[in-house]
Amino acid sequence: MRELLYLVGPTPKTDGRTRWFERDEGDERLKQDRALIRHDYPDLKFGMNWRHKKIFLDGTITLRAECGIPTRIKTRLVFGDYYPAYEPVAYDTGNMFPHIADRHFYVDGGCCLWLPIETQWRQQEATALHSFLDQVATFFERQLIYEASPDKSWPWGQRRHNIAGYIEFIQEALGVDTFLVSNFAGLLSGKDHLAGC
Amino acid sequence: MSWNYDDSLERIGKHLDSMGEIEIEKLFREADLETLLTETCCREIHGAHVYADISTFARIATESVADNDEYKRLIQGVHIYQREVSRIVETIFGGLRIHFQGSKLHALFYRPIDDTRMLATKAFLLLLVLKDFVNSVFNPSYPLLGNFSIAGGADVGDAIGTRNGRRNDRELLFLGACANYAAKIISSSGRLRISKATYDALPHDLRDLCEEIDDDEIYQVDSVPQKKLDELLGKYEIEWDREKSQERVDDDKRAHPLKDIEYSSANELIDLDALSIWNNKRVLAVSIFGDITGFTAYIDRAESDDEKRKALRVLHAIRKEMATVVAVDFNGLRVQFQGDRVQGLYHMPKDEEASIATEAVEAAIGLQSSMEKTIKEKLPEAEELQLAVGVDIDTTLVSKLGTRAHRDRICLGSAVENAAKSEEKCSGGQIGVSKRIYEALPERLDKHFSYDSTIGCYVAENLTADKVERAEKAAAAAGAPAFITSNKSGVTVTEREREGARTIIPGRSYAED
Repeated sequence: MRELLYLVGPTPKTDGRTRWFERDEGDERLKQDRALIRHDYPDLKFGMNWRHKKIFLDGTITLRAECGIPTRIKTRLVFGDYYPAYEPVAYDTGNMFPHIADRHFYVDGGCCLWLPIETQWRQQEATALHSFLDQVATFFERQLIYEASPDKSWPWGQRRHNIAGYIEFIQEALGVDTFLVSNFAGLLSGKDHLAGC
Repeated sequence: MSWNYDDSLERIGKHLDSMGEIEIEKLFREADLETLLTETCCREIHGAHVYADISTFARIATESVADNDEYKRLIQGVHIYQREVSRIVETIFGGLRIHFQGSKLHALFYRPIDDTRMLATKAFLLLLVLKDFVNSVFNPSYPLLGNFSIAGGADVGDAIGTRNGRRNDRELLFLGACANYAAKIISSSGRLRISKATYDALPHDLRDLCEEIDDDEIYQVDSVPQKKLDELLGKYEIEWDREKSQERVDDDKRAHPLKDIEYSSANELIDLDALSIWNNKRVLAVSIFGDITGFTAYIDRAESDDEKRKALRVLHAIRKEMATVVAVDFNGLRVQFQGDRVQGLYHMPKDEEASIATEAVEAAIGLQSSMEKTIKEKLPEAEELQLAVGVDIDTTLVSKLGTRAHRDRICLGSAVENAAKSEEKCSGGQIGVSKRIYEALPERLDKHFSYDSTIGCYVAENLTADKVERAEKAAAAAGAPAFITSNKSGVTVTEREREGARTIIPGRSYAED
């Protein structure tokens, strides 16, 4: 697999570091991932940016409404150096949607799928990439739902932006109200300490 | 019944594959257009197009409920009016009665070939004769129906003549600015209007009977006393004899007595071809009009033969697809093609206003889906074209009236008029529905419409089947599952469980500014 990918460009100069896909287990994972998504995401192809030595998955996710109308979304997943321990980053490369925080995008088109602490990435599972792509497809579907709904609703829930999203998460996890969490946020983060101690 | 992308794409492809080479030539000698023209045999025809309408028929068809005979008298009146008007157009003036769009006549003069002055003269005099006929013959024959007056318009120029392709269901279609403009300039009842091109082609004595309206390049025809009209008809050798016309109307009344005219409601989908003067339907129905906005400019802009052929190919593909959406994808009737627009009717289930309105609006969405998603995929050259749709509901008379062998499917009623008006006011991509339709719709549909005071109805913009479907998913709650199916043609995500679907709990989306 790894050798095949190198064929798309000149052999890169090595900086001495061994990337995940250059290791045998990484190469095996890449092979498995490729087989895993071939059927359900046939228009996404693996490639490698030889300059940055990054593996990516590039192409189109086609979302079909039940009536059959297709919407083709140009997509790229970039696999970081710590894959599969960490999830890839998904991008809307065709600028299909506005890349703004209210639509859960970074300005570069990266998708904010979830709070890092709520990640749905299951590194231990062999089907992790397939499940991740299902989440990405659902994220794009939610964009289309948002645009189609007259009252601009975001289905399946969303977190508030920035720190407020974390507070909301903690509040839900601990079953306490926002006031308490906000007041103790400094303590929880270790920035504040109790007066007199 | 519903609209489906794959089915639509497949049938458009089949139609295009089977259409054959389109031939467009200039009509340079007299011919029977009804025999000559087909979907692929088209002619550029220089002619004068005339529209004449008695819109009051529509109001009576909806409002008249009190008296069984009154309604029968209306049916008889419309039938006899159409028969005599057809005779006037074809026998007395030597023109072509293209069809009646409800109560509105569309006629064409194209003989003598390319003689613009004579064609404009005939069109002008026809308008005067029709007005005289209504005042002097028709109204006295139907004193109980009301005092009708006629509104008309005429324009002269080039249009492409073609025909839709289904056996036993063929209609002449004329495409070009003059075929549209003559209808557009029709104003309120009793007014006759002609275009500047028609005015310019008229002899001076007829021009003297016209007045320019502001700077619109429209001319209004003055009221012409009967004596003056008779003089003009004599001069231009038009043999209009109102006594003979009265005799024909009286004969027709005797041949079509009220006692033999039947009308009833419909318990199943109306078979339009089974209707006649003897068998009419009066139903609660939704009228729907879908018009290809920009098509007249599109075809007028086509200069080379190849461009014209391409434009006609696009028209035929859209036209047939619209008819299929109306009558196959949804439980409706394709009533008529009127140039580049289609007229449909929905009346089932009987008297169930909400269900009928829902079916018709779903069909309107289906029409927009075909136009935006499948037609443009198969025919990228149609990219600039869009569809405007108008919809309204009310009691409607449905029949097939007129002269033998030339009977037109007609729908008469306020809803027909209002739907047509809404469609004309809407821009491409819009669906305009009346207040009554809006109030009958379920929440999943009505939420896509908002009142547009400029158009005067509730309007949805760029509403296609996928948007309606997706808007229904918007209520999916945090923590609820999503169901995913996929194959080589794509991934489908739903909030409802589907057989063979994978299940995920979508992450709660987050953002950092």
